[in-house]
Amino acid sequence: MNLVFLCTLAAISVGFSSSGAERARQNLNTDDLPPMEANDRESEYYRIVTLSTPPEAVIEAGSLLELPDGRIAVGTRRGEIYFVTGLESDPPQPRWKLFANGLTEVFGLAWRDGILYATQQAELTRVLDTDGDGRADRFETVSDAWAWGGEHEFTFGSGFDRDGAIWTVHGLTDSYTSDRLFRGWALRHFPDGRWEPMASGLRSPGGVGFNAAGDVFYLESQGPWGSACTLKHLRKGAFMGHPISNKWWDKAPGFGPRPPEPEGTEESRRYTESKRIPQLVLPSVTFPYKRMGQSASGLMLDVSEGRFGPFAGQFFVGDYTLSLVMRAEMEVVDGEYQGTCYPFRQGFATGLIGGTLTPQGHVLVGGSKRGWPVRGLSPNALQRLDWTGKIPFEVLTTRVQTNGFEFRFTLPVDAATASDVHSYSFETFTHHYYGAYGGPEIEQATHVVRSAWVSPDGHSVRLIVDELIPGHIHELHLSGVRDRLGHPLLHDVAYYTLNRLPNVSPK
Amino acid sequence: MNVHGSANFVRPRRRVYSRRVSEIIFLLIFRFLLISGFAEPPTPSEVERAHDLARFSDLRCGSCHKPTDVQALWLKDNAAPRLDGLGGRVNPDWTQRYLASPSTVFPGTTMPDLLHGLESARREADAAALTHYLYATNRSTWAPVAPDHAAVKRGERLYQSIGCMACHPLNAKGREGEVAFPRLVEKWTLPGLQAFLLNPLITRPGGRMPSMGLRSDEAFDLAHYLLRETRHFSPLEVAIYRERLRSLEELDTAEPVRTLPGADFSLKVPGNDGRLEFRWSGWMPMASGGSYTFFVKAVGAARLAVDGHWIEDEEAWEKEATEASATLHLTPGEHQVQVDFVQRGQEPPSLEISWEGAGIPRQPLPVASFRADNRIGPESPAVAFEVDPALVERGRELYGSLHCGTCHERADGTFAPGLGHLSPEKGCLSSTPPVGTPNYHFPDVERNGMRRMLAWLSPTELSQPPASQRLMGGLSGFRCLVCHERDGVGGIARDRDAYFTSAGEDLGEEGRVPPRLDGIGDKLRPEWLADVLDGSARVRPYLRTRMPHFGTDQVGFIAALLIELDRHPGAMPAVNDSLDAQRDAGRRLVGVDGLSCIACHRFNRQPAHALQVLDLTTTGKRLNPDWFHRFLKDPNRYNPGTRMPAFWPDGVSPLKEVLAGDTDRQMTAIWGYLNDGEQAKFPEGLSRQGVELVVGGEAVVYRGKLWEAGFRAITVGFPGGINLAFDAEELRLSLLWRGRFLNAGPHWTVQGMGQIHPLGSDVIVFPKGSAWAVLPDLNSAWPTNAPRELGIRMAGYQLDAARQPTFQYRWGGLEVADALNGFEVEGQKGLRRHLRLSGAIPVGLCLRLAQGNLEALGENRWRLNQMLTIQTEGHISPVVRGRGAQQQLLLPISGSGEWKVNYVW
Repeated sequence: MNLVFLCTLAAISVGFSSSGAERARQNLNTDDLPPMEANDRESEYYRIVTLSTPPEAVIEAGSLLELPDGRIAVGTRRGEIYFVTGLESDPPQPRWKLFANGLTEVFGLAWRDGILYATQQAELTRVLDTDGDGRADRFETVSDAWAWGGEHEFTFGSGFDRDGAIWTVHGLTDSYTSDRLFRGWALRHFPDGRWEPMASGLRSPGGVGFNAAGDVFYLESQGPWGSACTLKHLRKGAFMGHPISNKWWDKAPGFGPRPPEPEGTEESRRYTESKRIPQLVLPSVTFPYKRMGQSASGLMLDVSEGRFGPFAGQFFVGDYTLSLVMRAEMEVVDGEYQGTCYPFRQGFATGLIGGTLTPQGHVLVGGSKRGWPVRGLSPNALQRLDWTGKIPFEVLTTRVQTNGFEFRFTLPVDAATASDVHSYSFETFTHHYYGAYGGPEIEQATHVVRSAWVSPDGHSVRLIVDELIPGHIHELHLSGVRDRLGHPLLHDVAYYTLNRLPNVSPK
Repeated sequence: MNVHGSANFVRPRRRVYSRRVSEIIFLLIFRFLLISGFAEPPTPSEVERAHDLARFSDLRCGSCHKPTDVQALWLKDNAAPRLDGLGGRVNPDWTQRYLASPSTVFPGTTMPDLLHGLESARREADAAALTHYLYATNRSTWAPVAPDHAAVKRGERLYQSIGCMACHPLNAKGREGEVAFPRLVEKWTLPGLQAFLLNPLITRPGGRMPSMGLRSDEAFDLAHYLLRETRHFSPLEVAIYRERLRSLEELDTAEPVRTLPGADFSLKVPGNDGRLEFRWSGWMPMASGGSYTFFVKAVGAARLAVDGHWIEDEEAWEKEATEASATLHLTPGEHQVQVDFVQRGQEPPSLEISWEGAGIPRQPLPVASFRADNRIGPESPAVAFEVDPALVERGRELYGSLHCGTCHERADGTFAPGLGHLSPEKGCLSSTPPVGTPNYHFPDVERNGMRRMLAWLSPTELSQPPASQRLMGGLSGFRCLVCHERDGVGGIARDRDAYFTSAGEDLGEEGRVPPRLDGIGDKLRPEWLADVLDGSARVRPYLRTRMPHFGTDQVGFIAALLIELDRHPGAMPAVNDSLDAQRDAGRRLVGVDGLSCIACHRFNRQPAHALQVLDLTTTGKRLNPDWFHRFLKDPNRYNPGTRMPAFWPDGVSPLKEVLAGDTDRQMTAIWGYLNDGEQAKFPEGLSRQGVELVVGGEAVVYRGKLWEAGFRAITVGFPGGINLAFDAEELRLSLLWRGRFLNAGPHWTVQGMGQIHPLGSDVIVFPKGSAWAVLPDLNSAWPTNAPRELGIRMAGYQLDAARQPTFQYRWGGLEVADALNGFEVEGQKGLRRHLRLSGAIPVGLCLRLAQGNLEALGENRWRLNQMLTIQTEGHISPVVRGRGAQQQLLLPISGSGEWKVNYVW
């Protein structure tokens, strides 16, 4: 396939859904979405509750935020902002109050000092109710530092970072071009109007937020210069991988010389290019295409301190196309974040766009299915994911070792199965790093698990393997491992994105 | 309050008490026989009297025989068809035959025979002469048009659903009381009938055939349906489709959008709208039997059937055509051939159908010998009508001497005695009318009836008809009662009942049966009643039958009589609440926190939650307030069987917390609120499901890509239909328009960034680029830099209590507050702009108000492009510079201060 053809396809299929090129040809045909493997066991641990929405409205949640007083703010694709109470009661008793309308696709909400900040497509806006009647009447432009003028130029916004700024991430004009200022960039903005460019090289972000340490991450869609959706660590001066937006590099004060151009040949690999391009940031977590998700959207940090189950501090990530929620957790190795994703819960009613995980321990997700193919059947929905209180048997964390991995489990394992190397299988693969739209998994290799050691408390297993390959995704199956009651894992696969090896030399 | 529960609703009882039209008609005929006999009948009822007298109107007796003033009150005027333009409408051959013998060619016609008593050659000659005269100015080449079977199907649905069938025959059989047709295929040209159906009142000013408010495509469909028996030969018929079809099989179930006559299997079919999805059909004659091999070769998907045996070619997406063939044994006689084609892929499509066998080398099918339809008889002959000037002259004389113009041009009929001085035994009513006198060929029974009614009309002491009699004359003359029921009379006939259908779900009888007319003059405001009769008021889109338009001149008197007879103005309860208090309370009551009227009723074009009945914002312009009050107290009394619940059972309000639970105050408040019409503030819980943004009592602000206003447009709709778009990137007023606001569908459906245009009209487009500049002098060119480059930046906007915005923007140290308000003064609606500048005002600052053709009107008023008047108020006058269509209206600004600009159409 030639590049022009790819571009044409991409122009149809870009955006936060980032459906594949072959999908674009099918247009809205959902027939080729991967079949949903029934996992009825998920609902024993996490139950999906559909939340009622006002009959007069169409609620296509694009952003969700819990306010300090417990109300949930919902920003929608139709440009409305609601304040909702009763979403977290059991049973839910939602009371919706329309706060503002007439905005453009509210894909980010933040709150500070009693004031709501909304990221719209054209600007970051302070939304105020000056007469106290419950309806917003003052809309102050905090920042419009970026330009907007393309049909697929989507913008998502964060909450406040540790310095008191809101991050915005800006999709390219289409998969291949950055026709307007800072398309393909991350910026951050202070309430007083100051702003600064933070990173280039974005393609089609689907959400931006912070981990427990306050570091900034965003979700990237698959497409050119990336064959799978990823979670990437944003920081000032970084180049996230798609080179077209580097054309605005000179507009970013203090960024130094423009990064060298990636070569983008069949032989190119992101890991090797990162040795040549110092600004290039590698993905912290890769979500293998279709096997995990197709269009990551909605980044949620578990701030519930255990009210949502055993995954405190980890990320949950929505997927638009497959109507599911994935889980991701990371570690810092050699100064860089890298980590693992796991399947978590499928079966949501619509394409997920916005989401939040509340301090009370509920995942709230919503969205709509218009425009791109989606597995969920409802045109739009707002749903809640409740932990039933029963601890699922899952891999809690995966940590890389010099010669393998250490798994920590949510429940103690059965020593016999967990120490049997035949309970595990281990493969690696990587992707091209080039401008073609999407791409296959390549350089697949099947490896040998040499030994498995169960910790005395039964919560951890250390796996010694034959080889670790930086720059590759390490696909670990734990299909034979049982808990002490003989149950298999709820999800027995972990995808570890390995960029760095632990430092073997003592510090 | 549970308004969805069925327990509250009373199923409408069948109108057993009302007499159906067919029964009435039977009784009338019976009466007619009675009055034509010897016995003096009992005094007739008003409906019977109206029917008896209707014959005088139908036959237009009053055209020649001028009625006295009192007689005129009993009779209805009825203008005859206009004869100009006949050539474009009616087959001249039919006209000539009709003139020679009207009641033979069209049994039941109301036109008298004026050529009776002449020998047949003379009769034919005179009819020809009249025809040549009538067709002299617009010649006719009448030719049969092949019925479009797709249109016929749609036309049949229209005929059966919108109300044609209420008066006209349901089937070929017909029955008493229906308005019969002449043989339409012999009379009408297709374009003539289509034009006639679009507006029948042009050629039939009498209004007996009303306008049904058809769109031109509907008139096309209906005309094809009515002329479906036209016989027209072509080798093939080709069906065209407009939905995207994926397979040949879908052609079996898809409904074609057109069918056309075809001469071959060419893919160049006129009017196919760029799509290549066809089905050809025809009958192939075989002189001798034998084995034949048929070939289908195509780029695309194609198949051929002979007598239902399909030969399907594999789908070809590529440049190379693929081929399929099959050998069939055919007997002598006709064989049905069908060919289907659906385009595939991007390659240029092609199709070849050929055959070989029994001494025939391979060659294309002999389509020229085919017939599209093997069932029809001889083709309707085309008529080439050449006007003969000599005959025209003779026809002109006849037209005058026969007084044709008396009916057809409403010429003065003084040649005949007045209606009060007629002898019932002479002239038209003679059993053998003399030559030159109109002959209606009355059967004896009818002639006697006419004589008797004439005698009844003649006495000098004939009194004025009571209003109720005059009303009945109108209701029966215009056949209102075939759809409507009033005082137990009329209503839908049994055999028509199934054809009255609803486009809405779950609306029951109210959703399909036209409203009753009982007390209608008490219910509706006079202006609204006039609009209803004028056909310009429609509030029940769910009724598939349409209220026809008879022409105000014809039926205006009906409104006056309905009011005279029905209206009983009632006292409104005295209520001390201020209008604003009423509005607030009314809004609460109508919304979801009150009685939830919007669960069932639409409101300002926004859908209701459940049912979709009458739009509440039409209440004030439709209803009399006292009637509304009485209705709310007991809906079932005024509309028996209505699903509208009584919200104040026994006069007790279910909502104690609104206006102290006082029923009268609450009802008055609802009236006060709804009486604001489309400018009523939206009630709580009003649907926002729809994609059209409707402006009610508050301004509506909408942000997002809008046509000339760009991606950062902030679009504002003000109550009263004034709309603007402000470009927040270029900080300029970019568009102004009137009428409807926006359809957000292109943003709220599919991916979301489709193109939105203003929905209304009179769109003013202001020039792109910065509206602000610093000019060294007034001759300097207007800068072309983008406002962002100049440093002009959006700061936000503040909404006032009516949610009207004040835009705020900055240019360095300069701050601009740009308040925009809709206003209405003395019926003139427009936009008022109030600019307040503060901070550091640069020297030479200018605001470009407009660019285009500017006409100075004095007093700081300019007319832009002959559409919009721009007027400024303030201590500095604007200047106009440039010429032609590129004139600029600039406001030079020095120092801080305030400026006001008004924009009025």
